[in-house]
Amino acid sequence: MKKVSCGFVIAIIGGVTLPQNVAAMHIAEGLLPFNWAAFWFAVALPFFAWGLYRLNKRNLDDLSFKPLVGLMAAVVFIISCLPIPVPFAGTCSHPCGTGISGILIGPAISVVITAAALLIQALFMAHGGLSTLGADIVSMGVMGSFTGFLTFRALRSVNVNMAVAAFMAGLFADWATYFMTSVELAAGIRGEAAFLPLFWKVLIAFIPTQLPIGVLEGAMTAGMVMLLYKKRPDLLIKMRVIKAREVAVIGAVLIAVTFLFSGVAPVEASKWTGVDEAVIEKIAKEQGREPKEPLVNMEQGDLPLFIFLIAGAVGGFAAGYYWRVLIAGKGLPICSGQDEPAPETSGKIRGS
Amino acid sequence: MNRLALKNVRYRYADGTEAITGVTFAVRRGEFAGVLGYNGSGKTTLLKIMDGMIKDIQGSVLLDGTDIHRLSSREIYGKMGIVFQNPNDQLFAPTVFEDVAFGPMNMGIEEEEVVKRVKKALEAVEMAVYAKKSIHHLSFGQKKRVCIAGLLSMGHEILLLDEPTAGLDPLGEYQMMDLLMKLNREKKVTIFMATHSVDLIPVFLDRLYVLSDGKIVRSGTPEAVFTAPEEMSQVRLRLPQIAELIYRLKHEDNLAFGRIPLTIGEARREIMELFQKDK
Amino acid sequence: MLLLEYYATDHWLSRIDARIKLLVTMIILVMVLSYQGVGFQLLVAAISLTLIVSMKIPWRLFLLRFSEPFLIVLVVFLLKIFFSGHDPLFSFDILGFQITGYREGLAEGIAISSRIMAAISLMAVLVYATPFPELMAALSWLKVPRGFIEVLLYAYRYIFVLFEEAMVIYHAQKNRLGYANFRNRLSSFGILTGSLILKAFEQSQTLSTAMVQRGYDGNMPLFQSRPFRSSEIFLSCLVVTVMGILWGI
Ligand SMILES: Nc1ncnc2c1ncn2[C@@H]1O[C@H](COP(=O)(O)OP(=O)(O)OP(=O)(O)O)[C@@H](O)[C@H]1O
Ligand SMILES: [Mg+2]
Repeated sequence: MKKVSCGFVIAIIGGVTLPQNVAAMHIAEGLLPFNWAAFWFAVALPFFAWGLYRLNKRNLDDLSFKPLVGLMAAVVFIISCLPIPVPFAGTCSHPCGTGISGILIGPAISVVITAAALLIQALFMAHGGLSTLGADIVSMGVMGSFTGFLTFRALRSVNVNMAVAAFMAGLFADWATYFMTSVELAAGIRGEAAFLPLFWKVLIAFIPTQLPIGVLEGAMTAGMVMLLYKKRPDLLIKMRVIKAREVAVIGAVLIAVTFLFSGVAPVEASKWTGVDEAVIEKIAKEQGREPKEPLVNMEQGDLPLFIFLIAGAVGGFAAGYYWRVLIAGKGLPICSGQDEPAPETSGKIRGS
Repeated sequence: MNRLALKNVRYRYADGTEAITGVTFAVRRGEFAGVLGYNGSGKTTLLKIMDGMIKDIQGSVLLDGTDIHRLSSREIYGKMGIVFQNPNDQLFAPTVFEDVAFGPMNMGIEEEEVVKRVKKALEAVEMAVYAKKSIHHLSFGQKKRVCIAGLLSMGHEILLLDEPTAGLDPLGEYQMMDLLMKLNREKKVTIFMATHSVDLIPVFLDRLYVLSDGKIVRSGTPEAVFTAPEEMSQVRLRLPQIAELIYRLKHEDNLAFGRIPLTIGEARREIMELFQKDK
Repeated sequence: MLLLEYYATDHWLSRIDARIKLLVTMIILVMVLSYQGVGFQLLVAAISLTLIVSMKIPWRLFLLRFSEPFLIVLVVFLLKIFFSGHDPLFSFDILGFQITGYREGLAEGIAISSRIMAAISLMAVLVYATPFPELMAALSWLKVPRGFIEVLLYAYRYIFVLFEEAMVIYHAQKNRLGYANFRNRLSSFGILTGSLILKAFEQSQTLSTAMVQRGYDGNMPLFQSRPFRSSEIFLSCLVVTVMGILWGI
């Protein structure tokens, strides 16, 4: 008997979501039922309140601090509107910029920054929503900022190179956000179904988008930190608020957990999907129904799964490309491989 | 009476740029003065120093006789306001009205009075119809006007303006200067501005300083400053065009002009006189 | 940036007090989120979409706003239909692989999708009928902390300034081959975003000076809100009651 596999469907879903990486980070308005929406608001509230408290306190010493936080929110917003060019197929991805704001301004206030950016996005671009603001703050603001900040500080405290530390901070900030979003999404839509299997499916569905974006976000964070380091080292010194030692331990633990999670996820996923199908089969049998034919014949190994993942990815990129064209309009001519070859003149200027 | 006096002021930026290298001068009560200089000569830096924004200077800045760094920001900004070169540095509220109202609101004035003041200030810069508009929808020149309205609504005694006419259309330029002159003459506001508009200066300014390389190299009334084109070009500036024309007519074509007029009105008079003499 | 700015200036909804619109929207949103079923959601979505159409929103804006949520709806739908439940509804072959959809999944998928649709169209009505500053004033009336409102206002104002800046840098880089291949694309992008952050730091300095010289002491003053009109209150109560009754049955 062929065994049912979710791989195919997940791959399609993953492919469909490729252009949607922002959405993957944001939970759409109305997606969470009332209880979950309220729950995530409750989780976000203490962090937000703490951030606001810190903000007001720091603004007393330095009146330029609140404007700075507002401007950083604008930067986070803009960064999330700017497409990062992805090498293949001519599509773009969005970073979320929470890692960098966590590193620079501190995680607590960074939660406020993210909340502001998220609210504006929710209102005007329908990325995320008012009711899901709490959930988005938890995944992007809290997880993103704290992971980014702690990773950076921890790595710096053991004298890791600044660029590497920033890269890891961006990477983990992104992945932590993705992890948390998956939790929220799975919990929100599971209905009667079991949480964990659905969670792994959601997680896998977003892997094709989120893994590379994490790397890009890391690269971007590293680039930004290095630029600041070169141009305005005084700012970095000024912004360094907490001593590295204090958080090193927590950071190390957090990194270990994240590492574990990212290493274990695929394994766990296949295990869990197996369990899921087994349960369904069992229930079906009990009710006197034979299970349906499987989706993918697993005897062929993982190869088809992989192929489908690629196929889904390509499809998604294509879809994403056209979607971007719609958005781009006359604005950013959007990255992609569309850049014209260098005009003659610029070559000459360079040569001369 | 000196309102704002600078004594031996020097300033270097953190990266080592010597922006101001020894400046001593004073802005007198009720004066309409200005500083002229090429790009990077230090005008903006000078204004920021005069406003007390840049603190780690050598030498001293005295506002009504007291060192400006000993005054609280409330004391300074109750008397003096600065308009930045780039309006985006200054406009932070979402709409024109809110931005202009920000100052008076902070002064603790009642709302009705605030609304009145805002209206008056916006009318003065001819922006009253735009009160509800979002700042980011305004053109550059309109933003500049709003910046100035934002300070007008507070009723400062001293105004520092960094290139208030840059980016305005010809009529706007003239209107802006006219508005400033009215403020100066009618409201007795002391005005000090940095500027590039060589052609407009002589019409309006009482006193002029020329800045070059962080130093004041010439000063006095416009007539005293704008003398010969060669001297102006040494500091990368030029005469007002009409003055340049008359200068050439006088020195190259040997027409018998008595003095070099700086404005069109004066030039017209001179030319008419010349004709009459010929007759 | 078009998305950020659009609102229907001359629609009757635009003339209603922002606080009332915000409150009513939030109450209906809660109803939508807590409703078990599809009918109420579809009703809300239908009303909202009708309102949006009557506001004459340019179709491109509409599409942009809804494209993202639509895809989410699609994903959730697919996830639910293929993975939730055990009662096979349909199955088909693709490239020799058989796919099965489940009845329970379909039902849940429809429920969630309609909830999302209702919620996003409801929010779209609010946003399209209210300019941002008014929305912020309404939020502060709802006792959202002042500090946060202030941050939002700066963010809103400087999104436009910084975006302009970003475009200038982007074009400058592009003209000088900054995006010619993947490697320098990445580095150009890093420089672009880094410059934005630098700009944010510098701008916040000048900004605070500009504000301090106009009397800023750490808190932005806000205008008192005008009193409600009784017709507005009446209308909103009516709407909420009717929706509440519909929600209950
Ligand atoms: N923040 C800064 N750090 C280092 N150097 C600076 C800084 N700001 C200005 N400078 C330098 O100081 C000098 C004077 O600059 P300033 O802005 O005062 O010129 P300006 O006369 O206002 O020029 P413009 O007419 O272009 O406005 C210039 O050489 C400039 O490069
Ligand atoms: Mg200047």
